[in-house]
Amino acid sequence: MTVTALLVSHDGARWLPAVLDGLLAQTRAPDRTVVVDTGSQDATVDIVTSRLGAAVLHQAPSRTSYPEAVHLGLQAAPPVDGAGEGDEPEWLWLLHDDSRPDPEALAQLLRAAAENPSVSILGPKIREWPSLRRLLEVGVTLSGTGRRETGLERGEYDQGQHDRLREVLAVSSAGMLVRRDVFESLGGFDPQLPMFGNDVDLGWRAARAGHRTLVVPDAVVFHVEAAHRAVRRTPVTGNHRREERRAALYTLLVNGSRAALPFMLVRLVLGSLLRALGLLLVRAPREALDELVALAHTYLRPDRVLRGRRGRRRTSTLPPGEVRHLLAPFWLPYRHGLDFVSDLATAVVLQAADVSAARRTSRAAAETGPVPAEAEEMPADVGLLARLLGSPTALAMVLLVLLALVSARGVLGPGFLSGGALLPAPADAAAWWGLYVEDWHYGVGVGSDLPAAPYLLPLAMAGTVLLGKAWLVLDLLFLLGVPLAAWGAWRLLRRLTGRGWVTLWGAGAYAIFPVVTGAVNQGRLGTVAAAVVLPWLAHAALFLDPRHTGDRRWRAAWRTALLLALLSSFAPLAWVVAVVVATLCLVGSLVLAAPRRRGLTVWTPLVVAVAAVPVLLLPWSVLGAPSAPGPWYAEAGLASAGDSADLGAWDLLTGRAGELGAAPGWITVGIGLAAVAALVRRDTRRTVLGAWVPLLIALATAVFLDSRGEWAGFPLLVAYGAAVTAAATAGTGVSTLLAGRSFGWRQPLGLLVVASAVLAPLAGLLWWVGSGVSAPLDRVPPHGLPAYMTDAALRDADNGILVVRDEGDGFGFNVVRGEGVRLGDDSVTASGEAADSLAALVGDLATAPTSEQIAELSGYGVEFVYLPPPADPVLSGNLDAVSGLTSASAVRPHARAWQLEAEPSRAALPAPDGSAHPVLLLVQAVALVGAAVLAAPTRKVRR
Amino acid sequence: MTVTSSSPGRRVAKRRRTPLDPLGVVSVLAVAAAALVLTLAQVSHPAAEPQVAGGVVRVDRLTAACVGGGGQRSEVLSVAAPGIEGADGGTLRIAPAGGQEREVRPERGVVRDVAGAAADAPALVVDAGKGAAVARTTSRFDRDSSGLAAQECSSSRSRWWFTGAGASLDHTSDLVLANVDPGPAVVDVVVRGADGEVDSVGTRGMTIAPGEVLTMPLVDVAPQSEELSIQVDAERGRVVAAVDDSFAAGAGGSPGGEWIPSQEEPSRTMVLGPLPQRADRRTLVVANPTGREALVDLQVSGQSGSFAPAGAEQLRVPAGAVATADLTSAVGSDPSAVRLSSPVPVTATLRSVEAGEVSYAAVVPPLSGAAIALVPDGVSGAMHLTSAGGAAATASLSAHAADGAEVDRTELSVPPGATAAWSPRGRVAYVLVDPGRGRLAGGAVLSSGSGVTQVPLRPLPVDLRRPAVVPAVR
Repeated sequence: MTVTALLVSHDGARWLPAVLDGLLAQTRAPDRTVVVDTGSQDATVDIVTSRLGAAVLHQAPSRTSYPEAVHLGLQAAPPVDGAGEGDEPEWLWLLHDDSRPDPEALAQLLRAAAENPSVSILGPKIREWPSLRRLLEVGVTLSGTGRRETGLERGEYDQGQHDRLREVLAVSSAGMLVRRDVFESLGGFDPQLPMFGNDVDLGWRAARAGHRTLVVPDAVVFHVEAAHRAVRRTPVTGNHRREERRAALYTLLVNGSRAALPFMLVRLVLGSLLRALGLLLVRAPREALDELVALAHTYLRPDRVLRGRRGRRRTSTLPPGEVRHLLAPFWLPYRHGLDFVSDLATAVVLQAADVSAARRTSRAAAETGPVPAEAEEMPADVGLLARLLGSPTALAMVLLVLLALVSARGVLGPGFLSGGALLPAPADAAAWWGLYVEDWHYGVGVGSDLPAAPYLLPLAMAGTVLLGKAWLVLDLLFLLGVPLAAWGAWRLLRRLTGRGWVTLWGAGAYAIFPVVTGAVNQGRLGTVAAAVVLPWLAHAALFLDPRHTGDRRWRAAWRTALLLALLSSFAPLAWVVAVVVATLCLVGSLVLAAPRRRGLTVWTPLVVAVAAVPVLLLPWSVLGAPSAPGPWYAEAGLASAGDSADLGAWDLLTGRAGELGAAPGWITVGIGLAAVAALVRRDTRRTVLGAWVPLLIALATAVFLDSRGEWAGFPLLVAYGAAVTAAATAGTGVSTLLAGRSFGWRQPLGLLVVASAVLAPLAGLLWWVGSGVSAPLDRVPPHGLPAYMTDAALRDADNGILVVRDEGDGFGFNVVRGEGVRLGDDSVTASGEAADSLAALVGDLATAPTSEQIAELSGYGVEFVYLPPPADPVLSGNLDAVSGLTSASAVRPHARAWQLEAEPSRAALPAPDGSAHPVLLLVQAVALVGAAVLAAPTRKVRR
Repeated sequence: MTVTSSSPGRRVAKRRRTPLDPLGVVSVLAVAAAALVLTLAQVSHPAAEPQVAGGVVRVDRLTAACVGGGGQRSEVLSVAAPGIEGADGGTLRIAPAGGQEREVRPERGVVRDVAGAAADAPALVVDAGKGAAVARTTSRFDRDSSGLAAQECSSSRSRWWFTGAGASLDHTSDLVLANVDPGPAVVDVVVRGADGEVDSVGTRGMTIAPGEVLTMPLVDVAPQSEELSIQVDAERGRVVAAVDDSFAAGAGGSPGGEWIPSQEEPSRTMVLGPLPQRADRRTLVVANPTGREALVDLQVSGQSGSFAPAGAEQLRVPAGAVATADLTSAVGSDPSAVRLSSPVPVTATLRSVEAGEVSYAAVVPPLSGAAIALVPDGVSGAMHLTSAGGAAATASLSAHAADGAEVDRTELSVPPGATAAWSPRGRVAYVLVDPGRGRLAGGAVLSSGSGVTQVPLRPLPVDLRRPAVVPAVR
């Protein structure tokens, strides 16, 4: 029996001495040793020549691949006469320059070979070097997705648990003992696999050719896996992740059965895309790119695969099914996916727990000073309830939620929250998705191609998270708006002013805004949602400050962009205000900041945060905003509803956007006074002035909106929030400050301001709870239409219902299809030629209808005409008197209904034509995912 | 900054001023800017006008119907006011119920008797199209031994009120309902008497098929009732309604026939007119359909002004009931009208009986535009106009022959609260009243040898209000 050891080296001087030590220390030394060096630049050649002599060394160019190097080595050591045939086969023992064999390794391998004469390839158990204890491989196989499966846990210690002689698909080429005749008959390693995966391929081919591969746990080789871990880069390794993946794909495609090939081709593409997406989501864009490049590289060269498959057909003797048991079970990739997700979740939870524990510890240390020895022995975790009771913040939040439930007493129960500017939510969040995604809205009026308002996307997402219950999203926003706003404000103010009563005051003062301004009672979705989102946006924007590290600023930029997009989707003016504030910041920094902070890189995150918003709001920002039914800057909600009161200075000062449903002004007047008084304090003046910039811009915007008769809720919210921030910033430690002042005119004045400011949240909360949620917001049945009509309309959108409502000085009409007009439908209601002609037609019907006009009406996809109570007697009489209409059951008293005798059609409705909407949606989706990934915490790339 | 005096001899204490804080200046500027913005907000912005306002359109179709089978001497006169720009052409389609339909081309300003041979049809529909519909009025006149009676031929509508009907031995009324629309009508009839609403199940939810004419004798609904009011409410569809009244002045007297004029809606203030100048008995009948008692104030508008009739200044009408007041002595022989004002909406009529001939004064609407009183051949007409407002009112009146030629004209000026009369000379077929300043209401008193009747003046349909129609989200 002849054993030829074949060692391929490349820049392995770090490990080579130990490797050669191992080789020389073998209890059964190889009969011949051949070393092939592929153009090492370090001391490799010297080490080999000094230890083994120059004769064994064969030099090759640096671009030589591993298969070529092995081939060169075989040429250098021609087959020994007499060996390879008969009883005494010649064995090749393959070694890497980073794999050190245990002294017993070769002896054990040969012993196993002698005991199992039918085996052609044997491999050792491979342990990690330099730890020497961790198991790397005890035989390998390949999963259906191309993953190299060792069957080991990551970092598993070798305790002999896998010490069982067993047949495997393949063994690593580090320490592989292979019969030379078999190796040569198989054609050696596949040159298409220059570095990675060639061992698995060889094993698979050998199995198909009827050879057996055995792993011998008693033989041990220690392996650095220098190429795999990218410890060593060679011209051949290239990008190791990419190459490994390419090798895996190639191996699967050339060795898989022909029947499974089409399935495999599709599966690998989908799997790769999924993996790339997953990698993107965990913020590993490079790895995702590697995945895709490897896929493209393999799929763009089908000739290589075909050539490989031809070669394997020649050598294989067994059908593919015969080696199936050596491959990984089909469920393994899914199991890995599940493990990954659960690991990720655990890691997130653990990290959150760690962070909060660290915060608790530091806070406890800060608050109580040195911990007494007895206390240290107490159990650290005292339970959720105790922690809740011990924290004034948590108590305040719980209290706010309870108060919210009390104030919502009048609007609890069945039905849909609507009224004022709020339309009822659809029955299911899927309706929001539909409205957002579809190009042509046939279900709304005369149809339109307007893109849905951008706020439908967050609403649809939230609705989906809440198990499709769209109404719950609006209920949470409107009924729990105060606690939600308080949460964000508390988080922001804690960052600005630290933890204390001022923070709590500020959160309370801010949180009452949506109710005292009348936004909740008027059903102003835009203002209420903005009140919840605004503090989070401000919090994110704080980290754009040049004092933070670049990575932190960039993450903050993307987070700011996302939150600004979210805010702007509900109140598009937010973006305008942000642009103005950002411009002022840029100009201010160029003029005032120190030279090192004037650099482009310092302020690019800010620019990106603002500039990315139109992209994140895409289909709407390009297609929708210019042709929106109302002014593009109007908030979410019906613009025409509610009162757009003529605001005066007192309203602006007290943050009241209208008379209807708003609190008395004296409640909040203290906030404005405190914001002015905050300017007096010198040490906080810079921050306070920072808050005054958006305050002034927002006030001016509010006056502008008011002059146009628009609802000014959002700018007032910004002004109010800025005022609260200014007051809270200057209010830290105000009691000590006031106490320290010598008695004079300042002290009583200061006390007065502080008292009125402190009163604001308390009085506001009392007012809120006392008056409750009131009209026009109410919980009502979604529509008053007879059920048989809506059923017909749901069955076929052509069966529209023309609803004509008596509005005192005229009529308002709309065509209801499906389940009626729901939140979001208003944003896609088009005004166009068809809408105008329908309005003219309804005008004719209300004046003196003719049967021709009724026939024309059916062309607008109208099946029913419905007059809600109280039906106008003149109009009812007109419609009764015209032929073409049959009186139908109106169900409710004082309502009237008719059915058109003609079959409804779409003759008069505009037809959809192609639009850029799907493309823009796709861009938006990519932008959103990209921004979300970039906003996520940076992940350390694992080798 | 340290300031020191340079002039010798003056001692100025060294004073340390606080250095000018740039942020402080900015703060002051910020507060000033906020104050400026708040001042700007004080500028009031007038509420924006509604974008779409309603308008008017020229009437291009007018369907009127006269109901109730007439006798041999019934005529249906129709005329469109002369002198309307751009309202030429058009046709009249005359469709008697159950009879042959025919079409005529009318000339503007020319009176036509459209009944022809179909005068006894239960309903006669006069459908004017295009230009013929503009400013058209149609009335039916019955002349027989029992006297002279007039019926306004009205368009179908959903609400009708009649006051002064009866169901007793001497006084009987028939309600005639006709559906001239293509769809069925569902009608509720509510009858009120002196003791309140009369219970009757059969008058609710009556379905009247298209083309059907239904006659309902009130005796079947509320027997033994002297004074009744009738409310017709079409909950679906529209009808044309009329009340055929028969009143015997005394026991055993021969009954006189008349059509009770209709009222569209109950009202708080109203003018009842015109009144025949001679009458043996004048009875004011007021019905209160509301749930509250009505204390109705009465005023008589005479030739020189209005006065409260002594002893009948106020009439108490219980909730839901009908009450009467005798105004025989209160109204003299001057041209007069009676004005009512009530805290709750009521309906009313004034019955005049003269030598066994009964006639009813209607609630006459203020004239917002030109109106026509038709005068049948052989009947003399006197125009009575009452100034309903607080100022004097004017009107120009022109009398026309049947071919449209003007035969007489005058300008009337009516002092505030007074009633003026004008009797045109010549063979008058109709009188055109064109109101000027002020608020005028009134009608024509027609008298012939056989009797007396009154026709109210109503503004002619020239323009139709087109309501504002705007797309609404909900």
